Amino acid sequence: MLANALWPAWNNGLLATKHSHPRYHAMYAAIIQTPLVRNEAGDAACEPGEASKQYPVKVAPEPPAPARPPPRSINRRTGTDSEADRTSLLRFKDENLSNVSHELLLPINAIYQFTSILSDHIAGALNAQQREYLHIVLRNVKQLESMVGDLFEGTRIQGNGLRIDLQCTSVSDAVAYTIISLQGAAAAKGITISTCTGDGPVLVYADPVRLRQMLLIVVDNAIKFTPVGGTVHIGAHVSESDAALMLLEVTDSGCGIDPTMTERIFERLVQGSDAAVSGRKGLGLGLYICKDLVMRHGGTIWAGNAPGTGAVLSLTLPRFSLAKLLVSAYRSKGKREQPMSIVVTELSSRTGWRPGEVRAEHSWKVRRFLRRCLMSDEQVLLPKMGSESMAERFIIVTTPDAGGAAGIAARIRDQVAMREFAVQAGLTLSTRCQSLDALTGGTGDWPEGRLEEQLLEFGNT
Amino acid sequence: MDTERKKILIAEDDADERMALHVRMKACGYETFFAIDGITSMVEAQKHRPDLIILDIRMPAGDGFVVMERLKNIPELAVIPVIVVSVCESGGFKQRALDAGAKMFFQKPVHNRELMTGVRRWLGQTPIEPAVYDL
Repeated sequence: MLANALWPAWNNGLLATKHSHPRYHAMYAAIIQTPLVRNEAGDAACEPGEASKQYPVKVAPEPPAPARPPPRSINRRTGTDSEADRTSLLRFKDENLSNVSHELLLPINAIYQFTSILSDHIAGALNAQQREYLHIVLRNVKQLESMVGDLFEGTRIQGNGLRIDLQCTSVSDAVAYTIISLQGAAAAKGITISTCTGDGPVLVYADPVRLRQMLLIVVDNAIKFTPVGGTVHIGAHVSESDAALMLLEVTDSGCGIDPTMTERIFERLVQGSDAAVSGRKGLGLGLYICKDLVMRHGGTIWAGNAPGTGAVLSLTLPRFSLAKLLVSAYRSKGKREQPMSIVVTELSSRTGWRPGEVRAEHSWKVRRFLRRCLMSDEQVLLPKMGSESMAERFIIVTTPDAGGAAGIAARIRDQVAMREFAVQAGLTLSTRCQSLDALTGGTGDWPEGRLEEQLLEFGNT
Repeated sequence: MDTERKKILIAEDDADERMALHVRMKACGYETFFAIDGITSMVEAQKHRPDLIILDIRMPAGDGFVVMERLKNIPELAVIPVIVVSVCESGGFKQRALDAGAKMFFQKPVHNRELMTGVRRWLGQTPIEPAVYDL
């Protein structure tokens, strides 16, 4: 009966709970039927481990019953699963992977939290040996988290839940980040990592977080399959077959790739054949995720063997071209010769460091505000320039007349002054403008790559 | 110290998570209260009127979305900033949480520095992590 009384609440989403076992129905029904004000007075403070003392609530969730995999039929001749069975098994894995990832992350999070509490000396001082051991624990927790993260990413790809924030992104920065992140793993095997990304900024139109993720996967994979004392080389240059693409290549001195596996290694849950060489097997999701990310950026990825060395993994990404971006606003209207100016709005924090979440929120709001300040389609708010510095810069390209650079800069300042857009204490929003001719040398021309370089330099001054 | 009188409600069904958050918040000088499901979250929020709520999404007896919905319907509780800390980021949880009124969303394992920056920010403490907002 109580369970019946519970159904309306259940249907209304009130009991959208992971503990749906019938044994909880009566308990929750009793709680729901209790007015919230009943226990206003006389409640004892509760301890973190036991929640609320006035309620006879004990959360001892039973682990969900494992779903049954679909029945398998073995091909009697080959001893392998049929194609239909394989598809069915993959679907079964998809359905359960998300839940499994969730359950795995819970204990990982607890280990991380308490280890960091110890390493932060919250529970008392540590000696050098204890600190070292805790760092080992933290390092392994992060690796475990990364593997579970792969599981999550794999399911997100299947559910089309991955988001890409395209912007002007420096490949050189991503390569540097990758080397710093993986230098420990490389040093442990005595592997030398070398790079060749050319002179000047190598820019692609990509999500910087995802670009780092792609490089981490590919370079980590190369390190795994390279023997002790080997080398890994990261190269980036403009594709010879298509100047609109940047080609990134990671070459190792390992055992190479079995020619029959060059395409299969990008499939889900497929691993390199020689686990003994790679040291650690992994989940067989890294390159699958990488391929999906590359394709979402409009690029391609492939694997092969470099003559005389080991494997080479190559991927292409679209180059970032401001000139192309500006063409639609200016050149098509025959205004190529018209001088232009740029308006740079800089958002900086007096407190310095800001977490990624806060930074993203600020960026989004300032960008929305600036977009409202644009007065014509000849004013172009450029995509994010991928700055990782403390300040974030937003660049508008416009004509330099009264309705252009000066006008838009004044409009931004006025709106901030009139509090149509407010900046809370601790942040500074400043706007300045400069003739683009001064940057391009007054030629009115935009040599490939030069404009981006000049704008980045200007933004960094 | 400006953190001493600030009250934080930790709504989290996992006992270890709850303890970890408690230890960290206590070390920062905050007073903590606890809830283990959707219903106790509402009760504890009404009883203690916390300055901030750290809320898990997946909880029994009313998940984090239900809690935020109910908080919005009670004027005196609607003003309490909510920071969601959840293991789920997929399925649009983050956007859903922000749309439901959460001030911030962190995916577990959350980095302590980011979490504490968010907590201080939404408690209006200095050095505050500044925010830009439209009026």
